[in-house]
Amino acid sequence: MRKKDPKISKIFINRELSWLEFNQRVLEQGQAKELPLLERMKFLSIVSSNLDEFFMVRVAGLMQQSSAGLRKRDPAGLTANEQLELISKRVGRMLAEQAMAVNEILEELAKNNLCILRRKDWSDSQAEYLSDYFSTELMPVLTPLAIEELNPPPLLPGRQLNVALAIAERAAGKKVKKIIIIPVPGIFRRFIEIPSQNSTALVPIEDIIAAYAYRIIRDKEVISSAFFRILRDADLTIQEEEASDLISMIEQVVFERRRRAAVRLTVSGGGDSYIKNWLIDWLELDHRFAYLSDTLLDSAALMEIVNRKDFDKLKITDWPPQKPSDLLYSEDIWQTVQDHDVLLSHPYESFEPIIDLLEQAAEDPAVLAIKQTLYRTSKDSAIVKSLEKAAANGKEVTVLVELKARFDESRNVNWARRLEDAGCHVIYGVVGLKTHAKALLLIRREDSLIRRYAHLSTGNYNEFTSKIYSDVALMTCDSDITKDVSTFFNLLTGSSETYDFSKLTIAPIGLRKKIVELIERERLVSTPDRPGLIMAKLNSLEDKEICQALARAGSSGVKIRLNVRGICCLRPGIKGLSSNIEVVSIVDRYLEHSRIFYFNNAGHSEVYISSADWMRRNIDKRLEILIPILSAKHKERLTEIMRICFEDNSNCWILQADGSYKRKKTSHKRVRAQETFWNYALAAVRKASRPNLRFKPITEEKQA
Amino acid sequence: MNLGERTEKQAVSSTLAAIDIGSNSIRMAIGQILPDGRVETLEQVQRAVHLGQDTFRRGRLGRMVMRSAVAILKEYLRMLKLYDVRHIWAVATSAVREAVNSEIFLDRVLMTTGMEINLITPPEESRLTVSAVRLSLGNRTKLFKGKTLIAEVGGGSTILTVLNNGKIAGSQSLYLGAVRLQEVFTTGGETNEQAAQIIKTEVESVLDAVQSIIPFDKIDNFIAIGGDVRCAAKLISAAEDEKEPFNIIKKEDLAALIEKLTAKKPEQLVRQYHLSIADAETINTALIVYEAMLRRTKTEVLAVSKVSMRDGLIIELAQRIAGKEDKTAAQGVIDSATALARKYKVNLKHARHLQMISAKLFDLLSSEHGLSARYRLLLEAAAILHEVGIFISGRSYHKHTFYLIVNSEIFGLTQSEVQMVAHIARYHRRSRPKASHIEYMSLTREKRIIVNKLAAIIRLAGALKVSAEQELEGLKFAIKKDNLLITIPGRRDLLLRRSSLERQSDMFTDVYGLSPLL
Repeated sequence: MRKKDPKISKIFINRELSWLEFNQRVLEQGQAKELPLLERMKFLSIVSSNLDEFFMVRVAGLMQQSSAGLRKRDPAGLTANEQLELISKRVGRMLAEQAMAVNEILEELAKNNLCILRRKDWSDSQAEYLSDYFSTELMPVLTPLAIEELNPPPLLPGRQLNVALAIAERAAGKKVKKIIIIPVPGIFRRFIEIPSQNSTALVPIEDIIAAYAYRIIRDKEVISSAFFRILRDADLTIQEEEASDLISMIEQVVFERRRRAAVRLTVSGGGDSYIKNWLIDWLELDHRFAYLSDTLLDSAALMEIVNRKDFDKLKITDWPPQKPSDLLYSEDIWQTVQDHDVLLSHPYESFEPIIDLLEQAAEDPAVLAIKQTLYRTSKDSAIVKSLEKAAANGKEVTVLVELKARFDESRNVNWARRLEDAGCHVIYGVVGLKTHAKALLLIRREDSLIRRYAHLSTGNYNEFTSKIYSDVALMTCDSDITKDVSTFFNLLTGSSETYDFSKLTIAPIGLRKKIVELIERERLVSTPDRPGLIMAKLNSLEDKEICQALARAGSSGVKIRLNVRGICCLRPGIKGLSSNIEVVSIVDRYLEHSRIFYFNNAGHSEVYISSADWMRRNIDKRLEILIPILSAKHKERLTEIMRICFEDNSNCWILQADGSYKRKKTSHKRVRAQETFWNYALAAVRKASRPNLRFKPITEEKQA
Repeated sequence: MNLGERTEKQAVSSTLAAIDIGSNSIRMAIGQILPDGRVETLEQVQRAVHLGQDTFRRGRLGRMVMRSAVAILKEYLRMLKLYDVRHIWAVATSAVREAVNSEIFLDRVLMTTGMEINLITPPEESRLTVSAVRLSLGNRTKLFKGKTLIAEVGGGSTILTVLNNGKIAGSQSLYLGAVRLQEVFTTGGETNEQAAQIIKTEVESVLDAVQSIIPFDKIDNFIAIGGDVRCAAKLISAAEDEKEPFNIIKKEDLAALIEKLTAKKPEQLVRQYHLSIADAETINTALIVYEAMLRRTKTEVLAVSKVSMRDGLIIELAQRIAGKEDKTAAQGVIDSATALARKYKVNLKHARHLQMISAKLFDLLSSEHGLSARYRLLLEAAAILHEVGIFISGRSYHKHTFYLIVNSEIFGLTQSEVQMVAHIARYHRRSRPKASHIEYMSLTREKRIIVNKLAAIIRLAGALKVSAEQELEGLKFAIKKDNLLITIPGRRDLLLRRSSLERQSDMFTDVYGLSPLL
């Protein structure tokens, strides 16, 4: 193998460390004093759920690599083991910071009459109430496990909270120390509300169990107790043989996940480290990934408090989604899309029109067929209901259900079956490639002519996430684009083995080539007096070839402005290599999720939206779509969206050459991109609802 | 009794589809006729199935390939439903045509999908392809200056058409198909390079043999058709211009590509170039054939057309639906039928009179029968050919007429259309269609109705016994209430004609509910 070019590895940041920096930005939102308490708590909760997934997938993968003895280095030049070492330390610091922030918020919440009562805080009467609660509600469902006496040893599932007790038992006249584990049953809420005057009092369920557990293990002395939580490897390696078997295989995988290796342990309380050390041994865990915590474990559960219906004054004010500006004057959506393309900017603009469109299509006799990709969809999805109804009404409904949506498999399987029962043609994607594109195609007959309507989005067809992810989508009946979408579905359904795309670019067929060509073209048309400009807004930038192309273009004078919410492996600001590259990241109330690309192209600018991030997996291992924006008005609007993102100085971080991020300082004029977008949406609706002040010919008035 | 009046009329849909069952794949194009008459392509699909492998090696289609072909057609049927397509033209070429059990296959397809597949002949393929190429050129006909060779290397055969300044000078079908070459001449045991060498040698010897028919060395322009060569154009990234109907491949680029592809296995091609498996298996062999031909011509480049025979099918089908039959194509059918009639020494004057009277009646009754202009053409062909059976014997000559037509080729008509023509001609006299007529009963119900409608016309026209030119000119028809009024100038033999009319108008009255009055 060729030796790594140190110059090349210099411009790369390790992917995992870059992701951790993203989580750090989420954490910093949790520390932001100017935000309402429950909003801060939401971010702190997300830090935890993010980390869980990171460990179960990424760290687990690295551990597999490391234990397999792979010495392969990543583009930044690190081996798996070196990465694990760095991750262990970085996560340690992060968890400590997070715990501090959580404790601080809990204190503040108490001042606002929302009290989380730990064991030490209980009054006598409260203790009495909880003791009763334990006996009547909890005790019947608890299953204490004397681990050492069980053969084979039980498998504790990952992500579950457990209470561990170190007990002393008399055996043969000697005192023997033993461990009892009581899994916290998942059927209860994490926080039990108890009667309280003047305030809301919540008690963590694990505290109740720990306090009264001695009643279950009679005659034994509890020496110490602790709470702990394990994360296990969840890497799915599925042998895809036949698509039809996929469902049963996934169900198998969900089951098998329980028996995978432990990748992280968090322990809280316990006083001495006896329980922690015992667990590390028992789990055969890499000791670098055992963490002690001095706050509530599984902070993701704090979401339960955030989602309470009360305490509005501790939350952010609502920004209700507005009617999309392109649809303000629309009476008939079919007609509107025929007249002009429609650009949607969610969640500032409502996702409802899409739900309505599908509902309407299900009943519309002119609609012949509906094709749609469903990747992750919400519970009780109105979209799924519409598709069922459409099938019942005799329309040809084809739904691509992507089963490999990481942690939603069991839910996906359920509604996939439901759609099948309703008579939809359900397919499970192309072997070996995950379908990540979001596309909807409606085939309609209008006066004996077939017209096709496409909706192409950067976000999933999920009513819930459409309210909290920022995405853009295009609706069009441009015949080239709709034909391409049709071909795309043929590719998914295996109806065809040849495919010709005229306007869309599809991964893994031509996307890599196309993006590299676009960047390369920008480099070639760039001149010193008219330097090129590339702007890209995306979630992650990791692909090595694209990073190198960007660096090459940058060092030839092209200005490169990247707005990358999460992972960014391209290191900016290295003299002679990447000094022309600027990377910013926005973390705000909505998850930045849209992918928009701008190429100046010597004044003939081109703008694209896409379902794909610039990551190797998206470009080579997934089915994705790159969509050119044709309308000048929409190109301008998307360019404006990107411009405002770069101007943000309240929720924006700048990537430094050392790989860390610095929060932008608010200068004299405060700009908050997400607020600006919402104000735009609001202003457009207000303008439309004002009485019509448009110019009218005088002759008409005279006649009146 | 108005037999199935609505069979043709109810389909007002503007969507149409062409299906092409080839040697190694089944392709389908779905389109729609736009208000301005252009056809917009809605879908183009292709699925691999190795029909040719069986036919070219063993002479028959095996159970497995038949099953997969039917499965693919079923899947296509679902897609046709998406667009509510009712006009379908499904054709099969050499792999099915040459299989001894093609009838079984066609029947199975009909039973499971309701699709009727037409077996088309090489001249038919050539005609459809040329008309598609013509249309794609629009008014840029300068490519047709001098001698132009249009070639399509298919799975089973290579179809060559030579144009002289744009006019078809001749066409030729060679047994040089990519699948056939591989199946017949290679065993799979050779290295890629050896196999390519074997195929090259075979191609050269076939081309040497046809040099006298196809003057390769005089060819000025070479237009290549076919999925394989289109693929090649993409791989070479030939200068792509959306507005131009061709991609140009240079001679040396083609040779270089063949060399590159020879070194790779089909699976590698699928992975590396995202080819479909069907294309990957045949591309190199097909390119070898194109290259061998190109080397013999005067031109240095291959003009790769973006159209295919399917486009020709779609265009013609669209014209039929719109009732705008391509005049030249229709004339070709008449010419071919006339040539056939001449061959069997038919009284051509008589035949032409019957043709004209039948056509007149057809037009007059158009709202009664609701049939498109395509059926007028079939009726005319039947009229021209109605007496060919006399060549065999004057006794029961209508029966001889039937089998002579059934076993003939009429340029521009499909096999099933030729069959209809035979039936119409057969029933121009004597017995009406009966359940005991096996050939008649083997037609689909729709076709039987059409045969009835058209035979009734030709029968009536025959009964009029019009022979003189002036009679023909003055002949007039009019519909009044339940009567068809017939006026013949001259009033000669009126009595005789009335009795002849009485004997032969029973069928007409049954079908159209009109009593002819002379």
